[in-house]
Amino acid sequence: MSNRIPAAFVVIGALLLLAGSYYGLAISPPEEHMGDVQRILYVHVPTAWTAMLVLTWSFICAVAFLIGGKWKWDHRLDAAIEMAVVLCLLLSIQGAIWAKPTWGVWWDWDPRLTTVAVLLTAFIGIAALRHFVEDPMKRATWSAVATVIGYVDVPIVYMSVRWWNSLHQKQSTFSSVSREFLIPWFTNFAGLLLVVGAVLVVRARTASLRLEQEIAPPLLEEVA
Amino acid sequence: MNGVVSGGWAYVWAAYIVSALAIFGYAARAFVQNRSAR
Repeated sequence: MSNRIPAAFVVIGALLLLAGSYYGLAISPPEEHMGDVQRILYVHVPTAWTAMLVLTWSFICAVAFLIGGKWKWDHRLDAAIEMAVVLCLLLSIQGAIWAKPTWGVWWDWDPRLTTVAVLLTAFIGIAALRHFVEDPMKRATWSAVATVIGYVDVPIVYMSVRWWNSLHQKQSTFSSVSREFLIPWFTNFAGLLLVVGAVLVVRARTASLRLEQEIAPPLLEEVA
Repeated sequence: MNGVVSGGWAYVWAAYIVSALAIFGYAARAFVQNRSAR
């Protein structure tokens, strides 16, 4: 299957990310309290939104596999788990870079940061599980069950800033953010969604090809 | 001085560069892996 369409989506996504980042770095004014450091949020917030969507997609794939047992959902789950690890790790690094000049520390055992760290650890564990289990059916079933359990942390991550006294700010609303800040946020979010969506498609295709090779009977020449 | 937190452009560039490397590095890896799996 050709990867031309996903590649085109990556190019369009990259152009949107370039435009959004240019707006965020060169056009948007510095924020009143955070100054220029606030510009980090133009990549941090879209990464957080995309990570939450990918994690939700992984949950959907896991449930669909457990109910229907179709391999295509396992391939999609494989792609989503790996992407969730990449995005959660990136999210944590971006957050640490923002925290140092604003909070004075790279890391704090704050409820939001801690729940994201738990989520990242859980999904690294699920990715490791997929790597080490050789039987395809056991691998798919176990990782789907682990994903459903791991996903329990996602609403806790979202609500952590409301439930506990957190250093991390609460979710902004449209009325609390000016237009100059919303434009780079949503442009970068759209760009990131296109890139991530395209990569998920390609990565799921790779998982499908790998499974075919894994369960294919050996060729006669190889047996001989 | 802009805001209470002054300066900080080094942190901004670091965040953008890390983000670009992670996203497009992983995207490139996904496409290369797909090609080699065929």
